[in-house]
Amino acid sequence: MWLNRSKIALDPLARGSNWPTSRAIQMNLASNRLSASRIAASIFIGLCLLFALSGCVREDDLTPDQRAFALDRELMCPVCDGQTLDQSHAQIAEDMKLIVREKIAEGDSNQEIRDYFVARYGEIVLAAPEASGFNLIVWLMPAVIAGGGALAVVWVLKNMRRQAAAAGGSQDVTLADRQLEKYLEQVDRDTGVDGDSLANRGSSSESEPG
Amino acid sequence: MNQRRAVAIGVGVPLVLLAALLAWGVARTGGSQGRPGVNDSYIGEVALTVEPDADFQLTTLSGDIVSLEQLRGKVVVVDFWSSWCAPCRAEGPVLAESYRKWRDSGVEFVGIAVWDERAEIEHFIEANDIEYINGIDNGRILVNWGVRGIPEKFFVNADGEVVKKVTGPNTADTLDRVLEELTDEALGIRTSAVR
Repeated sequence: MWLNRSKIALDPLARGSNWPTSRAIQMNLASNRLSASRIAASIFIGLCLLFALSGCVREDDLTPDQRAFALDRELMCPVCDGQTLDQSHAQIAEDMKLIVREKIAEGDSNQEIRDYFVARYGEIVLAAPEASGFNLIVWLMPAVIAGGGALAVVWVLKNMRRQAAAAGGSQDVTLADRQLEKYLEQVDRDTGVDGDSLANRGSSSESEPG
Repeated sequence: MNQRRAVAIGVGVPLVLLAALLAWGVARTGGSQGRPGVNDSYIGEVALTVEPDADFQLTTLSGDIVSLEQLRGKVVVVDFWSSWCAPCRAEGPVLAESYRKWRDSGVEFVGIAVWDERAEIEHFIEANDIEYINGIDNGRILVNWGVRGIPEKFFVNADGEVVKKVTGPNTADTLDRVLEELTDEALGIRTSAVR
């Protein structure tokens, strides 16, 4: 039985069990993908929890002073350049702060107080616009950008991984070829046979049967 | 190449959307982030910032309480002003003269001084021979009426409804125009004879 070196060298499945097979590489990649998915899922769940918890602080949980300070940060001074009530010392801002506290003492809800000022100064008095109508764009845009960015990152990472896997696979084959070459040379030395001439004879005998 | 295009789209599209949103915001506000508390020039009639049935309880300098309810049947000019405000100071003599001209035609003026000291207010009133009602507001009426700066005026018709808001210092002509319209409406007669 002649040893067809070229045939063996080209057949990676003929390697020993300690060689990295393409299946092992695929499993490794799948495992990496799985852990990346787990991380992404964990981040998503964490963000959901954060959003949920942020809505847990109710007006009733706060003291009147805490509510007043919170509203001071939500309302803009109507005559100042981009300042909320808590940042401004303009007289009108001071008047508005007093009215906020009076209305809290009268039992008005935060929404009623916001509505009171919006009715008099327009929506521009709100530091953050109401999440309705056209203003929804302002609220959704960060989520869209973050989501789009996350998808882009995932896509780029996947692409990089695919390219790395392709490059890694070809390196393995080259390594396998080199080690198999050494092994076959050792076989040639041990058997005292010139493998190349045998291979040539084998191929010539295949072409000239009989 | 595809990867670069994806990144360019992923970053570029949101940036373009943000820029468009910013441009829309600037266009909507005229690029102005806010105005000072003093209305230096005459802007004219602006959107009402108070309900038509709005009222107030103003303590006058003489200690009386005055409300729009008490003035029902008259056209009322409600003026928010201050003695330190330059446009208000310039407008003071105009208002004093206009009041004398219109008071016998069913028109009442109410001055509401804000962000000011009593002594300064009384001095200004005396110096300009102002005869109409004046009182000091601690900021409640001002905010309740949506006042942004001074001087600002609200015009109340004979039915007690707030019908106009005018921003900036008036001249005799701009005041006459509005008062003529409102008194015409209230009395059903032309008041050009008064002018």
